[in-house]
Amino acid sequence: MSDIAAALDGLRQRFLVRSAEDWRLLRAWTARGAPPDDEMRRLVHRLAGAAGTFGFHDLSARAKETDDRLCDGLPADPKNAAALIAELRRVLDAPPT
Amino acid sequence: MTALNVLYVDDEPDIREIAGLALGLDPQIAANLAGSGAEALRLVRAARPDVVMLDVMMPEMDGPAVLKALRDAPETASIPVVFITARTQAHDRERLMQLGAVAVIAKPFDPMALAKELRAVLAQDAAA
Repeated sequence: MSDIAAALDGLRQRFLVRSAEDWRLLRAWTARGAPPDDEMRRLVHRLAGAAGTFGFHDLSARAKETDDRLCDGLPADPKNAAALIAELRRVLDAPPT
Repeated sequence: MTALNVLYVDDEPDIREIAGLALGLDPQIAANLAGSGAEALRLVRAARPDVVMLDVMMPEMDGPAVLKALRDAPETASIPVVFITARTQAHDRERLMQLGAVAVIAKPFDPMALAKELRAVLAQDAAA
């Protein structure tokens, strides 16, 4: 494994560990039905911008759907938020490659 | 290929680290990293990079605010800025270009292609 591949793999694992907490926070946020606070906006934006870099392109796409709305000052679409949470769960449950 | 000093600015540590590794795949690129707009301005003044790659959404001082600060100071006004953003709809790109960026690179980026993409947008800007 090249240096960058090894480094990427390490960062990918770190991303997955953090994503477990992201999943919990996203679930709690949608359960509350509250408008997103700054932490939630940053979480969604981070997933949109970062997940694909670690190879999780579908997760980035689902996060971007919600991120675009929040950045435009619109409320999150519950269907999009649910799809994001489901995709995040799928990523977390996937067997390691 | 010309040597290039790049300052990459992103508040996300993991993305910053990957960007540093990715830019390092080009042996002619020397990448410095900053985690905030304020740190970026300090490093720009100290090291005068050839190009600044700026995340758009950062707390406290976002990418456009950093660009404005660079443009407002004569000694840094001409340093090319490339925005890195997940907001890549046409109107978002247009807004960022109107602020004075030379290019917009989409997030998420491919680590294996980031250095080439940077070279390409800089060449495109130089040819324009």
